[in-house]
Amino acid sequence: MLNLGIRGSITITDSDHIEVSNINRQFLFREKHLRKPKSSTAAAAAIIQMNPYLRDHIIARLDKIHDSTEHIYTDLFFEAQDIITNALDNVPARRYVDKRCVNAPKLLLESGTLGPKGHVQFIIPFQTEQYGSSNDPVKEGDIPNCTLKMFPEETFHSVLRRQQTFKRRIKLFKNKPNSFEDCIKWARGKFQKYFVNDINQLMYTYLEDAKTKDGNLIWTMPKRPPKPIQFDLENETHQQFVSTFAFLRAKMFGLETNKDSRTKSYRQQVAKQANLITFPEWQPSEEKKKSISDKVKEQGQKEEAEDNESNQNQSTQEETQQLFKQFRSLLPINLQSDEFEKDNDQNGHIDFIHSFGNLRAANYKLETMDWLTVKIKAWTNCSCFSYYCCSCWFINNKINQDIKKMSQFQI
Amino acid sequence: MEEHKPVERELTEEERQKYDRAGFIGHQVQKRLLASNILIINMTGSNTELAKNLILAGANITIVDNQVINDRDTDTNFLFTKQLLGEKRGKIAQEELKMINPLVKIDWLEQLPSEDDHVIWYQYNGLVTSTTDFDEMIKYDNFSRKNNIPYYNLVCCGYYGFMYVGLGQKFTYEREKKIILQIVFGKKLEDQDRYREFEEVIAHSVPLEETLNYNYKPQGMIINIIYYCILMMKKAQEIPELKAYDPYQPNDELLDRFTQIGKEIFRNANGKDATEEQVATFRNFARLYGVDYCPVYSVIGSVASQELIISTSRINEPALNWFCYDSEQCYGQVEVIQDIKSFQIRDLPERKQLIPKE
Repeated sequence: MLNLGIRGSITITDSDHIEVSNINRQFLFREKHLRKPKSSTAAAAAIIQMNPYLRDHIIARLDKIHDSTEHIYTDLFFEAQDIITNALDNVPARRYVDKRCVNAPKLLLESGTLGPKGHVQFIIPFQTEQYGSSNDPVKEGDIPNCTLKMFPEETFHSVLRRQQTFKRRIKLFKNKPNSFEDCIKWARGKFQKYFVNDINQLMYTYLEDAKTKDGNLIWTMPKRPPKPIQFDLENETHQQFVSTFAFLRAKMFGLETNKDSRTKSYRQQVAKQANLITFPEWQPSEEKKKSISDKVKEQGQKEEAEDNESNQNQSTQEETQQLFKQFRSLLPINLQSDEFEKDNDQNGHIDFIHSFGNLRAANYKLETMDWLTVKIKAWTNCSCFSYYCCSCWFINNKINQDIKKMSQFQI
Repeated sequence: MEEHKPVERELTEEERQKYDRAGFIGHQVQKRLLASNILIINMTGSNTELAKNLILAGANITIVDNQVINDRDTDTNFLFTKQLLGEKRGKIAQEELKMINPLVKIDWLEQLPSEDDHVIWYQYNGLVTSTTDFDEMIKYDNFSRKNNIPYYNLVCCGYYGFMYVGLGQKFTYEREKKIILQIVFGKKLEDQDRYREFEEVIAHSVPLEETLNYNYKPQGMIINIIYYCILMMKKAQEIPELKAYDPYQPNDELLDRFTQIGKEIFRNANGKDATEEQVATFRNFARLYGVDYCPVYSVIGSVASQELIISTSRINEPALNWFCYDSEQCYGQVEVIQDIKSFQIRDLPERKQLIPKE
């Protein structure tokens, strides 16, 4: 394809880097190219493998084509091109490039694939319609947050919700673990919270025969009333949940983990240990009841930013001093940050989403989803929920900033 | 020889990770690909594209090529660079393709296995060639029909290209029934509550020469101009000077004769003269016959690889008999030139399954 005239030039830009799952179809990349930038590797392969005359004629860049890079991809840049071609993975980016090509005006060759289907579209100035002129029918639309959290209709929602949780940071400092046993205890506690206590609280807020203001039953399809599930040390999904959760927590705090942690026998062992932990009887909480019904009324649109530690930076000096004392007592903390990596099965990320999603599905008597399907779904949502636990790093940073600020108050 | 029964192989952990992005082809198809072996003769441009696509999907291949890399190979084929001039083409192809996917098996032979060795031939799920000689095509086609091995021939001719498909005398595959309406208890079922039903089809291919019978016009459909070009080449190759025509030594007088044959065939088939544009297509086709041109052989190779995945796994409907591609019109079409109504169809009630909710 690149046997163009020697006088011309090609500019390739791609901010992405090569991953394991790319190699099975992006045939210019080999195992040795992992984690290198896609654009420069492709350019090198084209020059060395296919046509050495291209050597000074290919420019490889790592920028997105976006509002923010308008100073790089200026109008002058677009006007200097003959053809622009797309291999983008989302519609907003396509619309942006289309807009720039219409303004220039330049020929745009747009394309895309989805499974066994694909399309190529030529957008020629003054001859064809532009890309943005037609819209595909809206398939799914945004799923309201309350649906994800309390009223999941599909196992898919459950899985999505778990990814969101995975993304958010929960208060870890107070319960810093010192050994793997602590992690197991914490994981079992989380099981109790998510699949027993929270469910009990929800059903306390909205009783099974509760009615809305108009007199209609709240719990009509597609809303399903959930039931709490008892921890069963023989149940494989329960085993997977507790051992994966404990594993991730241990990794985060730099504790030693067993390399056989994904084997069945190890998981059974962990579950046995977890089973020994007992919990007090659940008590309903009026405060939580109010906060749940408030959230549902507002449609819970806002992302749960209030969970984020940054909100603990209260306005009063006293409270901040308190917080600083707490943090200081817990130092030194060694936190490992982890990016959500869907391809490496050993890191437990997909295990986590799979077990969590299926347990939530069990609460709502939804169909379970097998491990492989979860992985595929996680991939499709990767572009929306890219990074988990980078907020671990963020909090680490935040703590350091806070410490610097606090030292000014002379405690 | 009995037709090949599909064999499956379970995926290892590494393979599961590697091929999970192609999950849409189906788990069963993937397992059958891993246990397959496809014989490819001569690494021309289109065959190289085909080989690359097959190994990326997980299929194993055997290359039969005893030729040496020359200038034309390095100018058109992305696998061969200038430093490799003079090396054995099959050996280099084997090494380069192995680097693209180290998990598949890639063999290299200098000669075809003996025709009578049924044991060896039984292991191959498909036979691919890239020959421009119609006599050779017919020879391979007869062999494929006798031994019931699917046969594909890919040819690139500059701006045009085509692929011949022969599935053997007996080819059994499974396909989903096309159900327009399902009514249960007097109620029409919505999409998400539908059942998927399957049937088994026993297909057979007619010999290659019969598929060059333009009198068979299925339901009055208009046939692609490239198909007439193929007819033209077949007829022209009966004349020795035209058969020996070398695209790299253009000869206007011979090209005129090609075009004349093409015009006659078109007139006999359609009762009217070909337009000027169509006559120009005839001429260009003959002028560039067999010349590898990257974008076009890429299309032919890709279509062929997809078809080989279908015919190897025997799940889904494979195409018959010719695929014609015209890059000037940006138009590709499958020409079915045989009676497919005679295929035996058998219901498979045991495979009935509910469509999973997405």
